[in-house]
Amino acid sequence: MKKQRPDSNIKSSEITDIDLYKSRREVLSTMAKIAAVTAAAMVFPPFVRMVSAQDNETEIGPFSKSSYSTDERANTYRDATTYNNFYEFGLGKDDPARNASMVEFRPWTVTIEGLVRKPETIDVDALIRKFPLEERIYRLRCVEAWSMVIPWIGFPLTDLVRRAEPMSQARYVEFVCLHDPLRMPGQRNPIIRWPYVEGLRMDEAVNPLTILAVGLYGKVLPNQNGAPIRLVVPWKYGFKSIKSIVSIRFVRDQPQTSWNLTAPHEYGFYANVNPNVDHPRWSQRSERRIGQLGRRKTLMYNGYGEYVAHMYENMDLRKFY
Amino acid sequence: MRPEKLIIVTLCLLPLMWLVVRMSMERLGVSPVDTITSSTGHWAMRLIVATLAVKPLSKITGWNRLVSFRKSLGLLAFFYATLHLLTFVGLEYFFAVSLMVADAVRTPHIIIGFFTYMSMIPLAATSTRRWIKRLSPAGWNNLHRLVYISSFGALFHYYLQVKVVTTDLIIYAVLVIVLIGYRLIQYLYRAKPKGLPPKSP
Repeated sequence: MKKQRPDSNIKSSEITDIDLYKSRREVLSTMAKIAAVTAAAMVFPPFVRMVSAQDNETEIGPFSKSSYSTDERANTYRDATTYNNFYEFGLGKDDPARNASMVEFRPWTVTIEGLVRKPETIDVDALIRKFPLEERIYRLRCVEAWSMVIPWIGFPLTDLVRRAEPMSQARYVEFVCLHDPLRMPGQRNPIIRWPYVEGLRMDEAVNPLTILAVGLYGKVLPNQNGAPIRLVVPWKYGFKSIKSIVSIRFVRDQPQTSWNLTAPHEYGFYANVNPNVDHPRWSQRSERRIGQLGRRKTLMYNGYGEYVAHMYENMDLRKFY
Repeated sequence: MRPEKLIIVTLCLLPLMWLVVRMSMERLGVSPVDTITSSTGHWAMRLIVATLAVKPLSKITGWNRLVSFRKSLGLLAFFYATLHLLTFVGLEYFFAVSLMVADAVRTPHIIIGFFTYMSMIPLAATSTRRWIKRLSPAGWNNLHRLVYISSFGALFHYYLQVKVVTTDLIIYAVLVIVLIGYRLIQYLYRAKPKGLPPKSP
């Protein structure tokens, strides 16, 4: 029987260089680790989500209470921060919490421009410090017919308008969201023309209900909710409450808003919550309150009629949906 | 039940079992009704596609056994569709029928959903051996072409309720169109029987 002498049968050129051998092993073990974590994450997505909802729990304050707050029971922090429509981070309701939490949104500047006497580009934290904060517990009604009650922390938009000193020709306020496909991967998908743009008529902008929100539940606004600063207009469908604002522009003509450009016969400029005017493809008569079973009747102007109805007295809301 | 059939049925019931497990762990997300409706709807759609795929797949692979699974797949699709409907009526609307009807008549995808479900009822009802015997093979086959209505109905139902077109909608549409298109092409190019007198000049 021939004895095998392994060492002498191997050419020296075939022996793997030791560094290459180690690095290949590392690569394989890293790949295996990634595969294991990915597999685990796919099987237990709630686990991954739990981890990401925990960051960014810095307190914000001080803030005062407001008589504009509802006494309805607020949804939980988990409800508000893990069920979001923020297509810049993906189309699923759980995508923003998963994809936005780790993104860095500082430094951040806000530009106040257009037909104003005091235009400025200012760091967002410096801007926020100029206005006393309030807690506004508002109903938020999505156009998809679900709703939540959320305790926002913010300041009235009218305070910022006053600071900017708009000229008389300024009849609308336009808001622009960040455009950064690197930090907001959903913007690589052209379903909406990016960046997201929204707008309000001047009287809507200075209405006491309209706020710029910088926090919720007594904490700094999480990324998935539109950090560092967003609009909240509680009597309109949620898509009007634009998130992650970089620019506030005072203009003469009605701004072209993103959803209106995407589907003009489905989403209008005014988008007032109105059970009598259906979306072309679904009824707006009822809504699902997150956290509760069954559905409830939708209220005109989301129940804020006493503060806002006067602005639409002579308007045909079926035409100006 | 033969072992392979048992395996198929168990596999197809796994999504439901996973939903129940998640329900018990309260891991159905912020809007459980959303999650259940969505999951049951997607699985009903996938199983409809699976039933459509049986014939072409068995022809391509030559594995005739596949056809015996079609009844199970079809009934499972109907099962998930039933759960989907019950979730809508019972959990979403909590059996508030008048509120539901008021919404439904203004919401095209709900109307289409109802009709799609109704198109599946005769298919489920006549799936038994007894009915196969009762109806002539031609009659049974003709009735079961209702699945084409169910397929396009389910597709349209999904399409009408999304705000923007999603990837899975596109995938379902492509699969349904290809699988039904395959049958259409087969029908158009079927071999004509020989020996008939030629058509009149």
